[in-house]
Amino acid sequence: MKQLSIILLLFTLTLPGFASIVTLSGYLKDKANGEGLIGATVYIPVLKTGAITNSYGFYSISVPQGTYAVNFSFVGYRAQSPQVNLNTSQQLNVMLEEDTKQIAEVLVTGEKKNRNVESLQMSMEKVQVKLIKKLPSFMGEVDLIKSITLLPGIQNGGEGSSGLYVRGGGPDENLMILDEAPVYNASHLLGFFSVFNSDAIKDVEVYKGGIPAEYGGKASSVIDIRMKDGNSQQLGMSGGIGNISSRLTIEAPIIKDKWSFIVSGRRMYADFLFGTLLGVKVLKDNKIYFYDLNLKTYAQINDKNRVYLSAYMGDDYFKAGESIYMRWGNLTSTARWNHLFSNKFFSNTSAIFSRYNYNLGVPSKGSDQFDWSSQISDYNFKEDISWFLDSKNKITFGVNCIYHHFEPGQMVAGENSNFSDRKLTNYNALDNSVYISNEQSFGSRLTLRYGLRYSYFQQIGKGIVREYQNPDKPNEKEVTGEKIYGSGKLIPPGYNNFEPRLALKYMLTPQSSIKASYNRMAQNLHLISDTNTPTPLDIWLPSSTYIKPLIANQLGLGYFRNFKENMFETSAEVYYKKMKNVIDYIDGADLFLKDNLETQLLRGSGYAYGLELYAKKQEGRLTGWLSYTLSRSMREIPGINDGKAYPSSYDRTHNVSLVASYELARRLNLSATWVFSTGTPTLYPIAKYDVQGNTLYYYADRNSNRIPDYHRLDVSLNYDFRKNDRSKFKQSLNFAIYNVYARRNAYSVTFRQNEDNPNVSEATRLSIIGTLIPSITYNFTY
Amino acid sequence: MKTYLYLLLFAITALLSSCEDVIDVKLSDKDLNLIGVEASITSIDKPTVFLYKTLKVNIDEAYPGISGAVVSISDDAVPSNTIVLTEDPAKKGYYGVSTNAEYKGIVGREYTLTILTNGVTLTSKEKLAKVEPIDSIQVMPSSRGNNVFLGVFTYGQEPAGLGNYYKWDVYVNDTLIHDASSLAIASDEFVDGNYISKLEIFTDYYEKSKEAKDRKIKLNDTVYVKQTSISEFGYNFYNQMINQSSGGSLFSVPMANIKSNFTSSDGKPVLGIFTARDVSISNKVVIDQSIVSQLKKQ
Repeated sequence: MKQLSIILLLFTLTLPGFASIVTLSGYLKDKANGEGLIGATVYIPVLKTGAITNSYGFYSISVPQGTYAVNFSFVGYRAQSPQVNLNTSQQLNVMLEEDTKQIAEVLVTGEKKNRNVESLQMSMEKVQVKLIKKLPSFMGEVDLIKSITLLPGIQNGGEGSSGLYVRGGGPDENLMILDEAPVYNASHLLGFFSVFNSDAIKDVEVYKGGIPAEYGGKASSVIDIRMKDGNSQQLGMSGGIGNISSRLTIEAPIIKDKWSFIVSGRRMYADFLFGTLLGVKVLKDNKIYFYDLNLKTYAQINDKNRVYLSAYMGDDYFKAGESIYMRWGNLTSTARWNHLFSNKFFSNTSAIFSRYNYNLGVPSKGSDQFDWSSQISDYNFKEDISWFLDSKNKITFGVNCIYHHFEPGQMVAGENSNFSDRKLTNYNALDNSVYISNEQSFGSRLTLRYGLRYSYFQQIGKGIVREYQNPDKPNEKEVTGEKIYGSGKLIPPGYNNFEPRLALKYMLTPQSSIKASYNRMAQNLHLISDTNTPTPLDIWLPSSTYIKPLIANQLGLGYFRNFKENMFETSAEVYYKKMKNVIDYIDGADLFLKDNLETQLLRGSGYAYGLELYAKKQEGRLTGWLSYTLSRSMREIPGINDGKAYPSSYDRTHNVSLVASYELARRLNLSATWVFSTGTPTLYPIAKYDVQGNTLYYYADRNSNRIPDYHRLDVSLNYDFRKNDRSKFKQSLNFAIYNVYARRNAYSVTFRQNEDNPNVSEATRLSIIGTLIPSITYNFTY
Repeated sequence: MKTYLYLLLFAITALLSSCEDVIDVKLSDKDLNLIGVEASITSIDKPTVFLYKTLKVNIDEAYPGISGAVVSISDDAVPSNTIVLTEDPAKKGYYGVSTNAEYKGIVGREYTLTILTNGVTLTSKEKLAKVEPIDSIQVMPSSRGNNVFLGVFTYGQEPAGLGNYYKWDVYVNDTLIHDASSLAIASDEFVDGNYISKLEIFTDYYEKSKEAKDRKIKLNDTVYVKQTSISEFGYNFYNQMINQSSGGSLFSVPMANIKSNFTSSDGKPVLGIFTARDVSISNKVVIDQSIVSQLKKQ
């Protein structure tokens, strides 16, 4: 009997199907400051299975009982491979130490050396903030958003335009979230800088395609930005002083290991210096400045519960003497609670608030005084759950409820003013979605992630809906009435959208893989603006009777291949995107301070396709990458160009980015970037005529010409004062030149009659930066 | 109000002098051969029409007038008052009313302009709306940051009831300031029914280095303003003219063709505008020492 039980016991122990499954879970953190590492790898070589950490540094991996060497790694850090005795499920938190030697060499990569081949996610770029600080900057400010444009498939309009065009999509099609809070206007100073202070940011992930089901709301991309949590080990300070702005960050533990905070501020000053360098005619009573303030605190209540509170506020302020002032800014705040229901069930609950507002006016007390204000605010509740079912399945599901409140404009004028008080109609909307998704591996080569997101969007009262004779073509002169909805009343129509998401990876060899993806995205917030530069006066409108949701379907296919033991990473991706309900504007549209904007809009479809080639060298003294994108972005809108397809403003046939970093000596690093982009589509006139002695022009087909191509070289030299020393206080000096060969890249080309001879017309090129701009920045960390 | 704002926004971008230069651009060689018309009738002037052919952009010539057209204007009175305009023998393409005939615009009437040329008929209709008489104008200093320039300010009542559109023509020594960048237009959208005081419709802005050429109002000049009514079409047209002339700034909108209020029997686009306006002339201000000295004081 005893022998039988022993035999049975041995039998059950040896049969793999009957062996118990245990779960190893925990957090991977940076040893120096306790920051959770996002996207780090946990890998068990003998089982050929692994996992990556989530946005909070948490991982969970389920394997058969046994003792294994478990590899914990993250780029820029020394990997650890402890033997772990996994007889029962357990939590193992690991602190990884920075590998300082590597940082200088590696610029932007994933976590494992061949992560680009192995990871299921395609069309995603991860930007590690500390590694982009060595890149040449503009005016000493390393800008996260500008650095993203160095990646394939992502472009922008050059100086004076900070909107991102991802795979032919417009600047309002990117979900830019800071600790899950949307940032509605992410540019300072009319597009020269973004609002993200890189000293406060830990991680940036940019999804151009293959967007997972947990994200929704915008058609073209997701830019997920995570703030640092704050040093939970010791006091840390960092900052810098540059040409035009200064930064200071202070982070420290309140209770070591358990409770930390970080405060990070940046302020632009020396308006005079900035002005002179840019050729601005600086006048005595002018003020231009912006500031950013990031605050965060993180507390670990116990093994199963963590709480995060983060906030961001920033403003731009502009005043021209006593003539006019403009102020615009964002305020976001997020409260989050991570809860571990078990070692396989990770939950995050978030309450989020975000507001963007602006003011514009004339300050006097006289007849021209007025103040115009506008705002958009979001109240958001979100619940996301990850269920690490087993070693082959990871299920995520969740719900997202947003209440949007829009105040497009309100004018308040004093008694003496010529202007009357005025208010444009407010809007309110409910934006709800649920999703479920599973990442499943089949064998050791194939991984599939399939998911579905369902979104429901509807306006809710108070609100007013105007009625037109022809609802398909709202015309200002054909208003037949208006319907008023009381507070809380649902305003039809509601928009339902199913958004399937699919991603597939097939490993051909350990060095190469094929990936494919499909996503359908629905966007219900629309930026109404027809200027190239994002002006603070741009208005966001919700989907409504007259504005239908923008739907984008995107298909992607890619081949990923590494060479020489992952020293070189290469990839080739192709994509095709089809868009429905794309908005464009009637000729001569008047969008400014206007009610009934639906009368200025036209609706049609768009399509974009492209090839993105990418090669990166990750090791050695010389590192960097080269990316080339060949693409097309077209629009087809009845009422424009006689309904014929025309290139959208975001169409850039060729786009090249070359980034190189060379370690000249142990403390000296030289880096350079060169970018090239086909010129923006524009209109050149084909005839001229005269009104009141002024030459006016007659134009051909929409966007049938191009302004001159854009290209620019930047270099920077970075000197670390005491690299590799054990000293905690580190200083560096960065000297950079922006636009080294002083090319006058055209922002626009317009035609005017010659000043002296009105019969002659000339093409005038406006360049925002027409010269080389040097900058010197002093940075320190403690 | 919007014009005001455009002017202010323009001032902001003017601060960013950046770099502007002239470049060579390859343009289409096609000659579109379109017809251009600039026609006007007011309550105090006789109607005038300039009919011409448009030009390719790189041609350095005056616009060629079109002769031999049959041009007539009629109103919507019953019976209609019609007059045929005759071509000025000295100026090709210019059609007007002969000196011994009388025909002026009457408030409230809708005027139809008909042009028959080369087998094509062009028509345009415009209503001549009443303009509220202007109270007065003043010429006073206006500051732009550190510098001070002379500005022309109007005073007057805006009648209640939306739908009034204005264009102010500023005359210095009987010469109209015609530049598109000085166009002063407004709708009553934000100011309906208010008494408008000290509305700046013109600023004599100039760069110090180009004062001799650019400065318009100098000592001993005489300045007066014609406050005129324009139609909603005219307001949108001049707005687009301002957009076109301020193109090339950070806030510029994409270029688009400005539709005219002419229709052609052959369907081809006709470029230009026909305006019917009521005119109210302001007081004359002589720029004397007391005004000019205020410039230096600031």
